[in-house]
Amino acid sequence: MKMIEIEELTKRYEDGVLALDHVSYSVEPGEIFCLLGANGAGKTTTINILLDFIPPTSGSASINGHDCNKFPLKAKRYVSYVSENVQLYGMFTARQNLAFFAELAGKKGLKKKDYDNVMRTVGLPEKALSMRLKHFSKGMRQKLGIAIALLKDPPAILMDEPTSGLDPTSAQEFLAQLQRLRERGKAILMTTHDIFRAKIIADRVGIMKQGRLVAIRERQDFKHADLEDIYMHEMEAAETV
Amino acid sequence: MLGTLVRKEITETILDMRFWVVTVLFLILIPLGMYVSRKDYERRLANYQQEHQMYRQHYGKDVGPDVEAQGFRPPSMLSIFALGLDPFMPDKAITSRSGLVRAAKEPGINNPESLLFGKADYLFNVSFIVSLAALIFTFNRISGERERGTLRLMISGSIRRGEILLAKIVGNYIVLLVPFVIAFLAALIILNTSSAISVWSSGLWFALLVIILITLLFILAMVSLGICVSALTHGSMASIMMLFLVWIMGVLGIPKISPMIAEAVYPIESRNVVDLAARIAREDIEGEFNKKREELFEKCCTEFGTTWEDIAVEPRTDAEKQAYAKYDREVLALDSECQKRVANAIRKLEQDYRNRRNIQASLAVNLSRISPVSCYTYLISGLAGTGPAEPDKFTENAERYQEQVKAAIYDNWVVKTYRMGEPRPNIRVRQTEGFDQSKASVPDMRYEYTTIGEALRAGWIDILLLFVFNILFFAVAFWRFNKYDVR
Repeated sequence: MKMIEIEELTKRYEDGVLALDHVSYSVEPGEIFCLLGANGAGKTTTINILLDFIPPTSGSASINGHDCNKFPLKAKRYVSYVSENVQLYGMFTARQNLAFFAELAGKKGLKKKDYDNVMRTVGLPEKALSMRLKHFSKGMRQKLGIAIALLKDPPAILMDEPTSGLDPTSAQEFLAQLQRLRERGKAILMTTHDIFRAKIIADRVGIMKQGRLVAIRERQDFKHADLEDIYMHEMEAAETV
Repeated sequence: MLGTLVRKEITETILDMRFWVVTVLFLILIPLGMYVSRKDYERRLANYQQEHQMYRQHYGKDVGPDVEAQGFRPPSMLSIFALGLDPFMPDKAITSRSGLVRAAKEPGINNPESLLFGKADYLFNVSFIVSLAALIFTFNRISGERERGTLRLMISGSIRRGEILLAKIVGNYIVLLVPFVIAFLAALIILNTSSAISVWSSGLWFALLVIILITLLFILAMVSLGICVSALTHGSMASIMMLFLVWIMGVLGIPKISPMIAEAVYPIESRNVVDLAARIAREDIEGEFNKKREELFEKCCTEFGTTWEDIAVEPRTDAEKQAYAKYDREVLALDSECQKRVANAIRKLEQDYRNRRNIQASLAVNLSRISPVSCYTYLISGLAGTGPAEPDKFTENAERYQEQVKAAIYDNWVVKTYRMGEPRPNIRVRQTEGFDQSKASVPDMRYEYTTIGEALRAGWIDILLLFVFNILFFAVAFWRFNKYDVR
């Protein structure tokens, strides 16, 4: 069963820029799909369409079988989103932020142990629960973003450059977290520039260039190969075409 | 879901420094404004009572046929909330035997600075300070969240944008009302400590309730406007620029420019020109009737075989006495007709002037109604008895007072005007039967301010417009927010 499905997705902006050009792929439960590509390749545009931030020009994007453009509220019930730079309410404590986003996802009446558990899971100290977000580092905010996604507990997670700006230790912890999410059967679509970490964690990678998905590689294709070489090769091949 | 969103808005706003700044501002300005307005009212009331009493004691009794009775306008109790036109309104109406009543105003200004800068009464505090606070609370509620990235995270959930928008309006409205209500209650306590005012008196509490309800509607419109501004912009800086543009136009620009536009589009002559025209009309008519009186006197003399020169010499013959008697009878009709003609001519001039002034005023009022602040100002000043309708209300009261004085004094005297070859008319006066001059006294003017019912009837369009503004601002914000690029 396909949890996230993109079919012939095209997006042309009002100024004529073609951000997505007939892109198709899918992500299944328990799978991590990494989208690689340079800036402006169309990675974030795909996520924006999946979250109904922008409408597609043609084609479709769906989550758990619900069209993201036609039934966005239904589709978004099954997805969590972790952005490149998780920004939460700075004047709220971590607990207030967690409670607010959990309540929005319909998880009301969470107890202290629920918050403690999720903080432990993402590697944040319990005392951070009562800290205001304005005192959090980027890595801590990123972890709290994942904690929000975990509290919501949806079958699909969209991550837009989640390791960007993280220090190596935090990035390593983040990958371990992704691994656990995969084990819990989550379908994860992650955009990244970080080929090194994509190679470690991805089940499949999609390579995008100027709005086109130029290649999809399975794990066995890059498990023992240099993913960077594959990426560069596909980019050059796309250039030739 | 809506409850969660509203709670978040309330918590976020309370944690914001803006909330505490606004709270302190409200707690200082609103009670202070009420205290100053209360003292001002007490002073005006004391002045009125003193002047009225002194006038009655010294000039109010044993009055003659030509007395110019003075009716004093008491200050409106509700002017505590909106001083409005009160400083520019006449203090008293002065009647005349001719049937014309004129308004008088004390020229002295006790505190010119207060007129120069305007008084910080309740109306000022709500329309300037609270409206600005509403916009400051809300101007970046959407654009700011977009900048911070929290809007993106919120909308990534399964939430309707309309719910987010509604929560922002409701949440910020509730938070703004908290300091406002506290400050207003403090102001009412200050008001209630006055010996001249009782908040729970039948005349005040209902008006107070109406004023509060209208104020709540106005504040909601300003909160919706702030959210609307926020939905129209994509950054805090753009929002703040638009906020100032909207506030300056809505609070200062439109209400002040509209009367100027109305004056330019529909100019009318000044009051002095109308007064001069009335004086000329009166002199023309009186001149015409003086001639008629002379002709009548001459006719009477001729009829009884005498002349102007002979009749002036004492002792008079029977024929001369008969000529006088006939003149006495017939001149009454002329005097009465003269008075009627003068009164009609002046009334017509006044009515024409008033009609043209009303056209200009309604043009100004309707133009200014594109701002909710204008609608609110018209409503509150109308309820306070200090609004644009009050000059006409004063005229109504003055005319009623003229009739009152006429019935009590002028009608009890018969005045006849002779013209017997002298350069000036010879006026003879006698009392009607049963009238005792020594017991005659000037009646008090029973001044009637606009009632709450009248003010609401006159202001229904402003109430309707405040509802329309609320709906309009929400609709525009909803339309923009549904298309809002949260990236």
